[in-house]
Amino acid sequence: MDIEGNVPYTFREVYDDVFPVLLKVVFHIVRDMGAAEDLCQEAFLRYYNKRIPLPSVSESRYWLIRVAKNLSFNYRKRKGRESVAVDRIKLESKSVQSDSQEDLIREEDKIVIRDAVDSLPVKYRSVLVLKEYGELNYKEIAKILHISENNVKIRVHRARVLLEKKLSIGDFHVF
Amino acid sequence: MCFNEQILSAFVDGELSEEQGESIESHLLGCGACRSRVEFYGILTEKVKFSGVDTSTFIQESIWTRLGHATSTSSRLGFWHRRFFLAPSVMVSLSFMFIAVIGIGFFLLFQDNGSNAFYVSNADEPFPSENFPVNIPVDSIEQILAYFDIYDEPMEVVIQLPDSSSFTIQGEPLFLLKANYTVGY
Repeated sequence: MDIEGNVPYTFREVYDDVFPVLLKVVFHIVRDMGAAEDLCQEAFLRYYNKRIPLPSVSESRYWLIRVAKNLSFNYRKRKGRESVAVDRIKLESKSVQSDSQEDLIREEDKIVIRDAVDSLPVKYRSVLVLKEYGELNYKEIAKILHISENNVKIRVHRARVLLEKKLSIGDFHVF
Repeated sequence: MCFNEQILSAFVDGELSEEQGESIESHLLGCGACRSRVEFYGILTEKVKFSGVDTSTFIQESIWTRLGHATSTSSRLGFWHRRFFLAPSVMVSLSFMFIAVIGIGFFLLFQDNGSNAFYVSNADEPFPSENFPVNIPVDSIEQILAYFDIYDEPMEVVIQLPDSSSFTIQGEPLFLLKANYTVGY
């Protein structure tokens, strides 16, 4: 299994480099591990079947994340909020099985934060997921989303302000 | 003067130039409000990252195995996954050839309407005649004319039209010209 054409990298190299980031990004959009795995596989299959190979691993990385992000948001549109509800139930049942009270609180915190990120408008959620879960910098996010770095900076800030408001409502506080 | 919150947010992400970063750091030493804001962004970032999932190597390897199966399947299903490539000119030529073959096939199919359209029988002798074959299917006008030459006797020629609704008959004018209607038969 290798990429056709004259490229200075192998399919396996791209896979090992991109997969961990891709799975995190996709999972935090669809919030269903089974679906995230399928969507990652689909993104890599599309990459493998591309007729014209990309010139570098980093270009492949941007391409794959862009495709996977679009696939994930399309999946979300199709599934509505069903997958989120299922994920929440799974996590809640998992947290009940945790041994200590501290673990329970941590799991609860994770769910609350994920819900808050999930409730952000798509354009803010995209940058935040790519930045915090995908661990990408502004330049990389700008390339993936086809926007300027300054726009990424603005969106990240607005996403944080919105997140702050959402997390301050109710019992949860980040401090 | 305090910095814009967007700048502070970018500072937490390490996205500012070295010069800007140093400027903010020196400002933070004397500004509690900005320091508090930077600390908040830092904690928020950590909390969000902490809420992420770990992707184990087990998942990575299992997806790799699945990809291996999927790509081998796609190789077998070559055409639909474009594993081979034909130049557009070749594709156009092949398409024309295909259409031509289909067209010729249809043409030959309907051409068959003309065969066995003529029957020759002896009108005078009792049926069946030993001297002359009765109800002999012929394919062309020339064959009928040949019978006329061999047997100089009155004959009945039956032109049987094909069963299909669309057909063509070729050769009638030639046949009419050769037939001698003046004899009175």
